[in-house]
Amino acid sequence: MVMGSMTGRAGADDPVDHLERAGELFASLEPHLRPALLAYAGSQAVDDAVGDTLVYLCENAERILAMESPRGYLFRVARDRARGSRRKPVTLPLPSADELPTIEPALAPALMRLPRNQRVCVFLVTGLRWRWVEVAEFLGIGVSSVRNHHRRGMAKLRSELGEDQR
Amino acid sequence: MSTLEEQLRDYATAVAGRPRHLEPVNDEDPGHVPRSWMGRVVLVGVLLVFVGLAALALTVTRSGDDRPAPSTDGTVVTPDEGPSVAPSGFSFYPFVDPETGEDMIGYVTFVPLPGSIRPALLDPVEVRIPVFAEGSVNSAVVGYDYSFLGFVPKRAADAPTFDSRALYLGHFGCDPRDDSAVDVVSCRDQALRIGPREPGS
Repeated sequence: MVMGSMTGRAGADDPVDHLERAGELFASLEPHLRPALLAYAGSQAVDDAVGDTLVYLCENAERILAMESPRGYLFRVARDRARGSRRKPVTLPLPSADELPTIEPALAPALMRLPRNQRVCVFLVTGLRWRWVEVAEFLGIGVSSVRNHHRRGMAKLRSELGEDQR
Repeated sequence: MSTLEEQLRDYATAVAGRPRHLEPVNDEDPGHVPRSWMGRVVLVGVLLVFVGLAALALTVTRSGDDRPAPSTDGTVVTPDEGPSVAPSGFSFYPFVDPETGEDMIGYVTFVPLPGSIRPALLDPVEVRIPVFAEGSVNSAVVGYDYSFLGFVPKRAADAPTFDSRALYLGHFGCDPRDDSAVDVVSCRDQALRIGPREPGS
C-alpha cells in the first residue's frame, strides 16, 4: 500500500529536480490561478484548466523554468486551456440569500454579462483586491488597459444594478 | 446597505474559495486542522514529492495488473487501451495559504504521460491513511501515507451514486470500514469521503 521509498535530491539538470521546481512554481501560481480563471472562463472551466496547466508545466518543465517570466507564460497557457469552453455562456456561482444576505441577487448575473476582460478586472481588483499589475500579468495586457477595463466594468455594473445598492 | 464594492468583495471572497488542500484527520474534530501538526504535515508533503515520483514506477508497472474493473457503477476502471493510458504518479507540493500565512500541503494531482487520457476527463482518487505515533488510533497522527487507487471517470465521480468504498474494495480487496484508520477522500470537494464507521451503524 505504501507507494515506495524516498530518494535523494537530484541535481539541477535532473528531470526530478525540474519536476520539484515545477511543483514549487505551480504551488505559488495556483492560488492566483483559480480565482482568475473563475472570472475569466466561469466555474466549470477552472478545474480542467488548472489541471491541464500543471500537466503542461510538468511535460515542459525544463523549458518553462528557463523562461524569463514562467508565471506569465503559464497564465497564458491556462487562459488558452480555459478558452476551449468560450462558446458556452460563462457561469459564476450563485450564492443563496441565506449564504450571502448582503449581496444583491442580480450581482452575479450582471457580472456574467460583462465582457470577459471587464469581468476579470472587476472581480480581481475590486472583489479580491488584486493589484493592477497582478491582473495585467494574468491577462497578458498592460496596466493601463486593466484600469480601463475595470473602470468600464464598474460603470456597467452600477448602471445595471443602480446606485441604490441593497 | 452595502456598496457595490463591498458586495463585490463579499461575493468574490465567497466564490473564489481557498486553495484545495488536504486536511489532517482529527477524530475529535474532523474539520479542525491542528496548527501543531502543520510543520510535520508539510514535511510529509515535501517527502511525498519523492514518494510520488517513486509511485510513477509503481503505477506504470501496475498498469498491466489484472485488477477488477467494474465499469458501470463508477468504481475502478482499468483502462482497456493498455499503455496508452498508463498513469505516471502524483504531484504533492507545499504552499503558503495566502490568507492565513500558514504552511499547507497542496492538493494531489494526477500527471499523465504524454499521449495518455487527459486529466480533465478523469479524476484521481486517493487514499489517505494516517500514520499513528504508536501504531494505535488512539495515539497522535504523525503523518500520512498515500496511495493511488485508480481512474474514475469524471461523470461517475460526480454522480451521487458513486461509491468510493467500492473503489477501495476493488483495489485493496477489503472494506475500508473494517479499518478505522482509513479515510478515503477525493481530490474534488465532493462527498466521496469515507471515515471510520459511525457508532451503531
